[in-house]
Amino acid sequence: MLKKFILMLLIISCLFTMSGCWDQIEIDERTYVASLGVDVAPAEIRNKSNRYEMSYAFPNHAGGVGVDTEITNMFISVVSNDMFNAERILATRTSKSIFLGHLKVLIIGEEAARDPILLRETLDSLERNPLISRRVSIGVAEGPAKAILETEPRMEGNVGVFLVDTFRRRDRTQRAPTIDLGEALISLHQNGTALLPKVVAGKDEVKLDGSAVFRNYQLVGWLNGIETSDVMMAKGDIQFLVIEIPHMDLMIPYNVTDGRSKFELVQDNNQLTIKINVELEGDIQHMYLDASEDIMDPEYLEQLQHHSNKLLEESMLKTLEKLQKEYQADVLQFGAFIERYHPKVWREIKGDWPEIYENLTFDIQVDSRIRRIGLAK
Amino acid sequence: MGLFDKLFGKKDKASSGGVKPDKSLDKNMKFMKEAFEDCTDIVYREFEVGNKYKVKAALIYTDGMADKILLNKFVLDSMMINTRIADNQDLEEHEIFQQIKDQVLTVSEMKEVETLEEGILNILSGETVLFLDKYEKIIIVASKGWAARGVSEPVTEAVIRGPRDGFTETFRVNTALIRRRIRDTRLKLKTYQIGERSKTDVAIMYLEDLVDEEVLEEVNKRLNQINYDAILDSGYIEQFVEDNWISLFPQIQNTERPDVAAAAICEGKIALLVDNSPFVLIVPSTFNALMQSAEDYYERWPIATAVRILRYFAAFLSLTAPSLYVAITSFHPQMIPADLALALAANRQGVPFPAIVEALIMETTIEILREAGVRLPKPIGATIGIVGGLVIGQAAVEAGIVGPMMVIVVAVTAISSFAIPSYNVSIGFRLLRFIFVLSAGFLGLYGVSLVALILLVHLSSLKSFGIPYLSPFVTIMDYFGDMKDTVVRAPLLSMNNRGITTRKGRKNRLDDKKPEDFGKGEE
Amino acid sequence: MFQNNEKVSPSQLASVIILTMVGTGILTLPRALADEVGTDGWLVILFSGAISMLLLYAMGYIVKKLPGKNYLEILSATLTKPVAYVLVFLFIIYSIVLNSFLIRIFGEVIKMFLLFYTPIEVIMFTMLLTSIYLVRRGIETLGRLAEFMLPIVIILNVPLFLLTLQGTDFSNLLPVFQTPIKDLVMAIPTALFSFLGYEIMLVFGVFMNKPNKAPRSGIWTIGIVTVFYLFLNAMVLSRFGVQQTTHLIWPTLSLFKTIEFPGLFIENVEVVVMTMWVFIVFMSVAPFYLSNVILIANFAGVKNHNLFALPLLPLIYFISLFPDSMAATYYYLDIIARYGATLVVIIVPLLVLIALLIRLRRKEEGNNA
Repeated sequence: MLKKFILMLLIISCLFTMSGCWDQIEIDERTYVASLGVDVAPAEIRNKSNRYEMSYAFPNHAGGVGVDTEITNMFISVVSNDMFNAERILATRTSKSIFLGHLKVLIIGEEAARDPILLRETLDSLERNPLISRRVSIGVAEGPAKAILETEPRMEGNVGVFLVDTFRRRDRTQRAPTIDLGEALISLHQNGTALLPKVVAGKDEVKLDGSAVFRNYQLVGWLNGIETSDVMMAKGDIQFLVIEIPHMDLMIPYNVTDGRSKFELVQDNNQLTIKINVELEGDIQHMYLDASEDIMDPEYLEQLQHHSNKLLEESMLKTLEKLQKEYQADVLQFGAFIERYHPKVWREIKGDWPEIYENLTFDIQVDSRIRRIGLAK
Repeated sequence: MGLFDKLFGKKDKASSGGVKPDKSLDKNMKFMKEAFEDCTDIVYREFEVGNKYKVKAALIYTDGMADKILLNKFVLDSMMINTRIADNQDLEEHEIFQQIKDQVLTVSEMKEVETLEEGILNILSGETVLFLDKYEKIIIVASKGWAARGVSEPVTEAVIRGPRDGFTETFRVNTALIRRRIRDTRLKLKTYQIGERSKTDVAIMYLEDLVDEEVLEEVNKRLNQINYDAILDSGYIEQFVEDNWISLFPQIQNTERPDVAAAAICEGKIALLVDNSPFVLIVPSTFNALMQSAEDYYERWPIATAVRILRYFAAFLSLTAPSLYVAITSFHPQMIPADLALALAANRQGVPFPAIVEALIMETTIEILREAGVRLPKPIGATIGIVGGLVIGQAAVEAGIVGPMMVIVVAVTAISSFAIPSYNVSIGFRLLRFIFVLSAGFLGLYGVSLVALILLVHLSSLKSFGIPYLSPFVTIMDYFGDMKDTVVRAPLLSMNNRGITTRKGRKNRLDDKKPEDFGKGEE
Repeated sequence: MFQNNEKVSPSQLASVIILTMVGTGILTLPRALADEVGTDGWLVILFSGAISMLLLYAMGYIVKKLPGKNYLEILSATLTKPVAYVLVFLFIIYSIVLNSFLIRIFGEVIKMFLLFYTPIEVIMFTMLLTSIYLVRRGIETLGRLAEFMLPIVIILNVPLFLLTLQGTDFSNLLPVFQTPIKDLVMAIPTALFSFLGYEIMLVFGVFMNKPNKAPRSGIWTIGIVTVFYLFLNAMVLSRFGVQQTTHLIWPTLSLFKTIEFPGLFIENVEVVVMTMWVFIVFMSVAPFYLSNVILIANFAGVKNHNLFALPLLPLIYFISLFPDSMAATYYYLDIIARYGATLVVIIVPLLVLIALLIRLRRKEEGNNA
């Protein structure tokens, strides 16, 4: 018994002494990259082995014993052939080990997004990397991604943190889609399309407005804020959105707090029609002081609702047709909808879905309900 | 020396064999004096009894262990004075011995033994031996009475609510404390004398209709197998009878509280009482029992349940907190939120050691502090706490040897380890904690889970007197009722199940009232 | 001393088998099914569950009818001695290889998710050493450990699955019944091999303290695993959809990567999940290891199986290092599962059952005559 015990002890101590602690890197010896920008390498140095320019933004902590540690923002960009290599090159330029486990934001530059191979490489390397969370927020920059990461927003010193908070905030209006890397990947795997938020850099601020439309794994065009909110409404993915209802000569703000949508397939001879029923819920934010109209009157509210419905139906139809005719991107996954709920139909049209999609007609019905009107009558 | 060989050379089996007392008092006295040569604490008192026959008599006892007042008042007084007053002129000489026993000695407990060896053992146990000339038996007067600590509050198992009496070093007091709680003829008490020299009284107490016969037999066997010179505390007995002596985990529960012992006996367990030790052993014991406190049963059940969950959580923390810290900070910072990781990194900036060394330094320091605090006299102990707290809390961080987070982790660990009710479990945990930290420094969380696996395998392989150590967790389907008294404590009303330790067929607490059971051991 | 009686209760054995089965199939099942039959995977799981249930019931029946006999004795009693030795030999080879590949995949996953720079050899070696510690403690400890672990694994899994609920789209489960029957049947072996592990029933049956209950405990064993697989498949599919699922090597692990745990100490639960997964794999490697060691001891006619625990380590270790890559590992594993398991899990028990039934019938006739 004792001999065995000693033997086991020897084996274990051998394990300890013969090996290093391979993966041990102290927490203060790492650099936590918060946001990553992907761009095409600048034209003057672009060649076969220098295709990317990766930009890393991270908070840096420096200091010493007994000194108050200072956290500053660092920004480094690296030209390389692929993402992994960029990380290696970056390692030669930092004193700390690069750690992507806390990556929060991924910004893709416009030019990179328009290149299908570059984009697919980037997204695949992200999907393959076990450290990178599928919840990374993803956005497409108008112009280079580098410009976004270089700005120092006034409200929050760190652009990474600023972007994360902006991306994640729930009370943000749906003028840019809420989507993370995982969802984007699912959508791209499904049919190669996606609707990703557009990020615009200002002088000392960054804003999310509108969206980038992807088809065949490449950027094909943009939607502006209103159009994006139309798509989000059609998706039923609405948490916070203000719609201005024109009534007489007033603009009454209707604050949508919840939205649901339902698709229906109508077959009429050879024409396929998608019926979209959208239900919105919300409240009126203001009329004007001592208004002559009685907002407590259900009939009046009905009128308002009617105006809102009309307005939204028109604008949604326009947006959907833009997606359909101009971009040929099935961002709303009507294909998957037909596959799931009408598998028999799908089997017949599967082969030439792109053409069929282009000839699809939409029947949009919006039912906006005004639930509350605030404190004043 | 021939006499000594005769006396102690052979293993004496008390009554069988041994030297019979002689008719002559002088011879007996000579024998005793030779046996107790150079034992200055033995007192010999020779005197005469009665008027007519003048029987010579002698008392022998150990100074300090016998109650002198009792001897003076009720033995010597009666025999030397009262016999003269009494009217006993018409007695025959041989009748006088009976007369002395029946009418003279006014003591409550008295017996006769046949051999001198027994007499010697009784003297050494604090009884008084009375020799009468021409009488071939030895009269033992129960006179045990020495300076002893009274029944006081148990130090190691304090409760807020519940009885405050604790076991003492005196064997009889301890048995009485249990007997007082279970007034049942079926509560049996078997006594052993263990230790070639110490002749320590060891008793097992159990309820004969509840105890599992196999366990009882096993206890009996293991106690009889003990061969050692002196048993000085129940800790000796524990180590001689436990199943696995390599394990870090105590497989026998010890308690200072008679209510705990009585409750265990009512579950069919066996209490082992050892003279000179205020700690009573309880077998068989499970890990679950070691995580319970007497108070759990005295408070209302939702509170008791919450406390127990807290306790298991504390046990988990005290085992793994430093290793988790090491694993997360050195291996897997992706686990914690980015803000926290950044804050930790900023905190640790400039600390020259890796987290594992940091953890080992702090853990060792706190273990040294704890040990110092226990051994030192109480007033100085408090100082140690203050000095140590200062050293750990402030100076180490300011000197940049450790990060402030590590201090928090170590403090939480130390506090958690004190929340474990059984001291012997918590020492085991403390030792294991170091192994956990080492493995975390080697393989991160994977290392921690490997050590946890080995620990679990070890715990599941343990048995205490045939009962799986981890029961009822490892026998859930077979003894589901036992789960009511584990991490949760069900209301007393619903806890009518005595548990795995009880004999088969006697598990229900509510079946005991049947009058026909009375006095019957077996059915 | 009544130290170890080397007996396990039916519920303990059931727990061992459940954990063994889950450890082998949990990682890849949703992907394999999505690959082959898309959203109709649940049908395949149900079918294979039913088949496995019948097989395990048969094994339980064999154990019940031939109590106190080890695998070799069961085989020699029903299929004659030489055949028995050959089959046991094949069983040993099959389960050693299966065990090796399990260890290899385990090492790869740990390396991928937890320890990026640690050599895979160290990961596998430490795991095997830990298993040996359990193997040397014997079946009784294994049984208790399994019964202890199963509820904990379930309790810990429930909140994890609940957390994955946010953001799932259950319309991803549609359409149903769209796959041709032929494809469904072709997919059954894939799912069947996710249920592997219950073949140890015949090896461990001899240690059962109530062999009478063996068939019944077999039913709920498979029942629990089937429900779990159905649930897992549904969760993965509704989270990822078919297309994404087919692109993930270990969809189950990726599922946990999507969990958001806001405002808590733990941000990324996948590390926690990996830690838990170490326990599950251990509970699947160790039983296989133990059954190997016991069978080898039977084969060699040695009573004390502990002798073989350590010598087996290098063998398993080297076999597990044999495939060059992850892809090769899965390729070989598939071959082993398809041919080895068909023989060991399906053909042999059925042969034994038939032989046993014939023998019983004869006996009955003999009694009647």
